[in-house]
Amino acid sequence: MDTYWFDLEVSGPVTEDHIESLGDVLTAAGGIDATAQADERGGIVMFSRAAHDAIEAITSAIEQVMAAGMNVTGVAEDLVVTDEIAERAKVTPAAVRYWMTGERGPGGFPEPKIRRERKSLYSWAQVAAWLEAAKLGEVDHAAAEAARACALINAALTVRNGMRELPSHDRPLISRLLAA
Amino acid sequence: MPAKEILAAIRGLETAGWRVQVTNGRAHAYARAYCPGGPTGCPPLTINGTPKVPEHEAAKIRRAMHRCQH
Repeated sequence: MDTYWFDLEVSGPVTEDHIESLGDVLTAAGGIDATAQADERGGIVMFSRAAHDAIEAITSAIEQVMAAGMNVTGVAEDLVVTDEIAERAKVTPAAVRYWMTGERGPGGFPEPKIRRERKSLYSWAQVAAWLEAAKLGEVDHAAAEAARACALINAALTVRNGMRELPSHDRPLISRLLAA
Repeated sequence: MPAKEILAAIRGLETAGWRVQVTNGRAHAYARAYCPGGPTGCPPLTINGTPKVPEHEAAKIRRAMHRCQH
């Protein structure tokens, strides 16, 4: 089994009781492999889940978070900032910044998945692939698989949440399309 | 008491200016950590006392710290 790292996005409000309830659900299922960072505004639940495949890891996590009373709105692949890339690649943050700007390394460092004024977030799957191409590391196959699974499951969550807002006579039409 | 990896990650949070408050009367949550951004900062991080893999819990704590923009 591989370990898959991903974040579930949850809408607010998330209470301390929700998080404690998630602890109960996970303990009953074999142990706590999730860490919540959320409050009345919502937030994320970070998972590191051992499973046979990424789809199994993410769908089981969604079911457990929902069983704890939280509403899952999305899932994000393993996204990392410069300091985490440095930690994983065993180099200094300054070295990573040189790779990003192209001053060192082969160039073509992946663009951020989420661009922020400070601490942009990069896809670890893409960065790991770049590191291997640059002979600076190895491809993280579990991260690549999780990234693909996240894209698919995010689409499923969008459909599920959109269905709730559809008139009841339209819902079977979408269901039929999905089943085709 | 949580594993040494978790305690080390908590010390890292405190060094970075986070406020760590140990919880009372909770079965799973050992502590809640608040980023330096105050009420408009990151949502509080709930630190598990007995996670399945302490090294993973520590990595998630460091991740929250690294991602914080405040």
